[in-house]
Amino acid sequence: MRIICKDLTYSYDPKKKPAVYALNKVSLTINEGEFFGIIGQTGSGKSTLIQHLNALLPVQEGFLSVGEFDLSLKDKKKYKKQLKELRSKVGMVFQYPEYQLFAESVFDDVAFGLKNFFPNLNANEVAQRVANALNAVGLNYYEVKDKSPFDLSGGQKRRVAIAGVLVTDPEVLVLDEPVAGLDPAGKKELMALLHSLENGRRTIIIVSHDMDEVLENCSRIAVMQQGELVKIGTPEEVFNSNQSYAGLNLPVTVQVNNLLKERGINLNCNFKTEQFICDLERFFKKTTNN
Amino acid sequence: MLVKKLYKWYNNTWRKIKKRNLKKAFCKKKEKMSAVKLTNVCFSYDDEINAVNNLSLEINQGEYIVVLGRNGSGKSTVAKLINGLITAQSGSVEVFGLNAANKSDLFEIRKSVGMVFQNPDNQMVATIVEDDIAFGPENIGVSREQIAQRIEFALNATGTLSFRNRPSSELSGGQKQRVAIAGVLAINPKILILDEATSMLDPVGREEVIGVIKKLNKENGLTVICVTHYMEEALDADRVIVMDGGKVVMSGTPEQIFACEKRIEECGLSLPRAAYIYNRLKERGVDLGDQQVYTVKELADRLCELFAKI
Repeated sequence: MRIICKDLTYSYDPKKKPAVYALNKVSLTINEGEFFGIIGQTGSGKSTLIQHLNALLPVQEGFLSVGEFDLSLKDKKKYKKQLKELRSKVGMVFQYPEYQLFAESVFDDVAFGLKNFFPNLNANEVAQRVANALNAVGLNYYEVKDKSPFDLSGGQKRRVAIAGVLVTDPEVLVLDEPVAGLDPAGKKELMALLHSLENGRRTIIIVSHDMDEVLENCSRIAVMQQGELVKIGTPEEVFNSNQSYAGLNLPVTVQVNNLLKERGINLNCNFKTEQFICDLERFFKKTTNN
Repeated sequence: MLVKKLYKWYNNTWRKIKKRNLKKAFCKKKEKMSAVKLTNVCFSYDDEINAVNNLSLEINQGEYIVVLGRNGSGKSTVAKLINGLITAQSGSVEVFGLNAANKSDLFEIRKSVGMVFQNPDNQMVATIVEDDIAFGPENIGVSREQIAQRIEFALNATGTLSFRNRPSSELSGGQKQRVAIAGVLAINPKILILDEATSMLDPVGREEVIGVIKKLNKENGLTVICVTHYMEEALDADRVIVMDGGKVVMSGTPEQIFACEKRIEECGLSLPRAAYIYNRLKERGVDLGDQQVYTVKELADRLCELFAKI
């Protein structure tokens, strides 16, 4: 599903004068199947933006459509009618989703959303889809389904929480800081997991504070600053414009590149770490051979 | 007359004794005083697996300690043991000579050990930022004027001055975390424990907070124990402790710890990215000098040197 945002504006306290905008005329398009990153300082409006995507926040001003759903409809009846279907198709994984686990067994927890969205499913279908979701997040269905979610490790809990969203087979998956609080090995695994959920159609949107993470993983990145979208593009475009963004640092490879540039050395390396290493190796070997 | 003489004599002697005691105290301070001492500590949440397994650890006053380890390695449990949130099932936990097992000493221990948790929402009590920071010192009976001073200090130290009058529910996660840190600073602790407290901050917010904590450590002698998953944060430490399976498996300067890449990875950790790049280049025969690189600047410097050579 394609997401189109035009001049989206939102204020948590619309009556306040002068108005403080959490989102200020944000326009962007996210295509089907993209692995999209949103970065920005805390309080820059990232979370406000993504909460619009499954109508947790109503559109106050501007236009927003997610696939065939028009979320800026003024007709309240029509607007409300589409919400349930929309929410089953736009899955939202909040920061530290493991805090939202509540059921007695992993099975019940994962099945909760599914049963709510599709009350007509029979037990077999529910079991099948829960199994699929748990397998998709790299957990063994038979091993974990009867366990209490609270007996699992931090990384496993987070996977269960993601499975609970994945179970409705959403076409858009939005994750707010998916790797925060995980150890480096866990981070790597979870990012690999997210890539394994790509199927050409599913759009994955992550909000992150880790510049290296978005650089390595995202096809495009949007930069938010004080409620405004200040930059959107491929990682190369976003980090190569000699621009710095409030509250953010630059990925390590970009920092190295910029330091060298200051001293008049232009390496022309790809910024993705493994590529960066290869390019450097090639660069130095070539120059020594000459 | 006699009374006056007597009084003078008394006063002088008193002063001398005081001076001597002060000198003694001062000399003592120069030696490394132990702030935290864990001896053969075991703790289990469910009587099956030991979250902390026969762990011994000594932390000196004024030290800046970073604790690394995978999820579930027992880092947070150690942090909670130190300020008496949980009690060791065997072994002893001492904080400034006070035993955490004595219920009568717990209050004193908690007053000297401030703790900042991962999720600031768990640590907010009042609706307005300023009130929230005042909560701690009010509870321990600090005078009104002093509370005002401490709030001022804490707000300044954490860069939260601009939203002192705002409701904490309106703040973003990162802003809340800085308020939580301010709330702990207001209690004027001798030890500050940060349990992944920067994990919700944006990079600049994180640098600011770490900067504040480093300053408090250097200038005020605050003992800092920082539990983190950010390898870069470990580079600032006096000593890095790596935990795995409820035990301390490595302990040393950041340089010593990050020299063992394989070992680090086995513990679920990674090298700082600049060090990783250096190691990979070295393996591929790009000679950046023998000395290990840790920071971005070091890496850029070496690349520059190599560039100048060819």
